[in-house]
Amino acid sequence: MSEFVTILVATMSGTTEMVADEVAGRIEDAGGSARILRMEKASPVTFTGAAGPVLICSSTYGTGEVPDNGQALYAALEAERPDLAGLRYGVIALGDSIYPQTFCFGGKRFDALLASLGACRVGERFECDSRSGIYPEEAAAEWAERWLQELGVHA
Amino acid sequence: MERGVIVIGGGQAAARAAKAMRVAGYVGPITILSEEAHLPYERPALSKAMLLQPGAEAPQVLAEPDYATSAITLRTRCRAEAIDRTRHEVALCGGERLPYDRLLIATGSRNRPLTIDGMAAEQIFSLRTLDDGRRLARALKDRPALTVVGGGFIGLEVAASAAKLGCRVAVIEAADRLLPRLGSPEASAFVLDHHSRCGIDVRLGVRVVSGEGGRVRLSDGGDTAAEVVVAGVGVAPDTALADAAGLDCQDGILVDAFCRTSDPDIFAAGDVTRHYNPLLGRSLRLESWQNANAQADAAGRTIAGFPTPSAEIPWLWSDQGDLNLQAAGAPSSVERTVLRGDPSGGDGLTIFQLDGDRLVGGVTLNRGKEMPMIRRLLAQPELQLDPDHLADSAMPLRRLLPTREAA
Repeated sequence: MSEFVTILVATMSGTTEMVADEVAGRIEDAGGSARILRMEKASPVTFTGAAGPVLICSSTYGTGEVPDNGQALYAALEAERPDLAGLRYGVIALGDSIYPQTFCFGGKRFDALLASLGACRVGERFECDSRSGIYPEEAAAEWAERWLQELGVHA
Repeated sequence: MERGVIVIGGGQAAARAAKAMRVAGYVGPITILSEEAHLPYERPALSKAMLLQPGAEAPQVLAEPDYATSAITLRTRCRAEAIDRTRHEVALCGGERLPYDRLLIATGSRNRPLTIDGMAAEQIFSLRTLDDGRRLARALKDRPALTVVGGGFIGLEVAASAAKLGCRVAVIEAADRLLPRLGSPEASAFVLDHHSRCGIDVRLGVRVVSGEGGRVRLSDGGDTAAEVVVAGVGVAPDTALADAAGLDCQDGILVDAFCRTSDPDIFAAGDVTRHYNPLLGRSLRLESWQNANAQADAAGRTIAGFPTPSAEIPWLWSDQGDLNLQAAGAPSSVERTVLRGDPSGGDGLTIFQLDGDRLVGGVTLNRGKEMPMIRRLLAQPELQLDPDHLADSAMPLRRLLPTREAA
């Protein structure tokens, strides 16, 4: 089955955007298609009008904040509370484990918000620690292969 | 009795180092002495979100409950007056003396002051603290005509934010290009073009001569409207305490890669240091969020008993309105520049700086997603790179990293 995945990116430095690029490549290799959208260019309609699953890619800023470019989208979803029943989504969350209490909170906040709006997460949330030494785009791409299988996308 | 660690300074490096000591297992007392009234916060927001949305809170370096759960004592509005190295004490304003086993100096830098003949000091703003940011945000509320003196990062960030707010904005830079310290004429040209298109009036190669009423006069005979002036004319490391205590300083407190000063019980981290970078093989001073964090982590672990060097390729970013600029490396000489992307196009530009066939620096302009790979390329200085590959947008940079297995 072919899926059209909308990848929404909240990033401070660009690392998360690079991760999204890599994951988009894997989705296309698997026969799906993907569109990357920086969150400042998205709105609640991006979710309600999505043709397929949505993949949240978010880093974490300060003590557990959504990066600047994702804050307006987060606030709009929170204010408008659209009904997202039927929407499937995945979450890639980047963080720094020196802040254990708020580790990966950028992605976790979106996860909790989308779930509260009735959307259904597919697969485990992927969390990557910037001090682990792991290349996040490689780990995320591996995670994406499993995520695609759970979505029912096969090469 | 264990006297513990005292941290002088209340910024990114100070709070982060305290946290890093705890994460590394240090169990003794930790006290942060901050002159400011606020919890340590992230300064990058001051020139952007704090100006665009007055009332916005600056992100905190550590969440408030973390001070209690990590047993970090934060003393705000607390000014250290002197360091007594012999007695291992810090003298506070007011006469109190605090003993220490180990001391970390993270006093950051201070803005260079600007005075303009004929202009009241209240019209001239600078930006370092949250209180500075709030003052400037209030001053910009009525959309005054703004002249920014200094076309460096802070000046351009403020200029772009003010232009977004609807202010008429001029930028005065003494050098013949913006961001002269970046060392990339191509980046400077791109940045100039961006800001000019946003309606900012950039004047290069001129100085402010005097001010009168709501205008400043320039050295070329021109003038700009200036109901408010923002000074972005550089910073100096705040080494006063270290100097007075006799620690080795040279435009910054001299430290090794482990953040050790010339006194074995005193460490320093962040903007205030001139530190040895083992990747570059030389010492340098950096004013950046990344360096503050990296040195804080190294100092924190070293103080906790796990000597750890700070060894990262220098990296900084600057958000100027809709322009995201990132730069990595610290090139001392650039023989050749390779561009990826269209310098006049809307898709951003990546600039590679080469010395021979070795990559020594990189700048991304609205192409931040390439920066993680550039930083990895820079961390392998022996790498010989083909300029044609660097210039080819269709060639993923990750393919140029030889030590990686094929995906």
